[in-house]
Amino acid sequence: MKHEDELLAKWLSGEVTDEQVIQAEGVESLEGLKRLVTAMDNWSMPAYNAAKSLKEFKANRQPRSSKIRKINWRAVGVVAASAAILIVAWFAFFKTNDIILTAEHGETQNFVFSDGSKVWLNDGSQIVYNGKDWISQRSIKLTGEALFEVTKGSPFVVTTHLGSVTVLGTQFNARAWGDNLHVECYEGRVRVNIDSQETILTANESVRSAGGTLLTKQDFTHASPSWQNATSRFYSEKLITVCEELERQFDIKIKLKDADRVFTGTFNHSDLDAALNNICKPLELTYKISTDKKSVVIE
Amino acid sequence: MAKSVCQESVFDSVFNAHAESLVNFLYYKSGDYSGAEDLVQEAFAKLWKQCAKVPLEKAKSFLFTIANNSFLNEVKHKKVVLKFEQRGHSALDNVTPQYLLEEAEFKDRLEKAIAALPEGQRTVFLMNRIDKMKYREIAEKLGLSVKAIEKRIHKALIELRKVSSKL
Repeated sequence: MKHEDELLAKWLSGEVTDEQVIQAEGVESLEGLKRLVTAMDNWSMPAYNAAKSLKEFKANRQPRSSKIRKINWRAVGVVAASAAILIVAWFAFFKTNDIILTAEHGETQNFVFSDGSKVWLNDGSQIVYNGKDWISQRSIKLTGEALFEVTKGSPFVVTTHLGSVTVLGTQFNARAWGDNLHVECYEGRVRVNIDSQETILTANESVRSAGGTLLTKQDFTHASPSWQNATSRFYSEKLITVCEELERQFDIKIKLKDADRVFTGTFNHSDLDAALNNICKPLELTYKISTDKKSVVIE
Repeated sequence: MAKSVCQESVFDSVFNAHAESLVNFLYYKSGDYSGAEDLVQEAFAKLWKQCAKVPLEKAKSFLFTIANNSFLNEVKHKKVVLKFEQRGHSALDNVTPQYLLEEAEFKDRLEKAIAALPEGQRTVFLMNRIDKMKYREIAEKLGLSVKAIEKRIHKALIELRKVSSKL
């Protein structure tokens, strides 16, 4: 008979009749089944209060609005817990309306601005923006790396210590670590400035800088920054840059001899050992991870 | 703007739609209700963190995948114990004390037998019997085929029927 190992399930859902079960297994079998199903018919789980649980959930999470919330203080030297922490604070140094968003080590952070623009912060990165006047003056100071999706409106300017990116309705990734600025445009148009140098990028174009000089722009094909898929990608970058990213992602310290070796490739953020292997093997280097998994030596 | 899980109202509706069945699922898996509640909070926290990357229509299976891969009751030899509430009685007339006693005993033996089922059969069976989910819905949530669900339920029924037969 067909469906021998689904017969009783099909009986339970009404697809197969009582008679068919009697034929296959006998009357007693059917009666036993009916008894058990009838008994369970009025079994239930205790009532669940979804509204209350949702409230608890929100109370435990840091909210995403730009209003001021509680400030988390951590003792110096304490390693960040695996939960991302959104720190919102007022600094007397900046105008009182500046708001700071930070992504901790090993975490990324997302935020939606009041105009619908979005930012995704890669770990170890931070933005400072004008909370009060956002709609009319969309300016952001970026430290590190972030992906932006910008709605049409007033000019949206992202400044980094290496250069600035000005946008009008688009999606781009800006990476400014050390002295390498790397901007990828996913949609729309973006203007990148370093001092008097300027380049305009359209979709699938990217540009990098080295030592204060904006290099020739290049095309790329990937649809989103690799760090969004928990991978870091490098094109002919110095090993020291690669290791700095490793240190940020895994929250470790690396001791490196040949800082200037050049690496092209990727590593995934989920496994330190695999990541180190991916990087060291092609360069014929060896690595050693300490027993507490906090430091690595590469040579 | 398209509906995004990052929007509070959308996230809330996902929570209200699925939190309860998620808690129940985890309870069926482990027998630990408060552990299940904690894990649900964690699963939604993960969804919130990834809200920009999870399209609304994938939120449900995202949550259940996290729940399915989670570990409660990690001590291997710890037995799973499941207890259910009962509203009303099967036989409407003739509810004698004797009947009630038998009914309670049967429930007890059945609960033990269900708890002893392999986890894959147990969770699926209870999602169908207690949460009243159709096989297709269970299949969607757990990322399995309807046939796979039916096979598990069939096996569960074969095992549990042994309890019914001991009268």
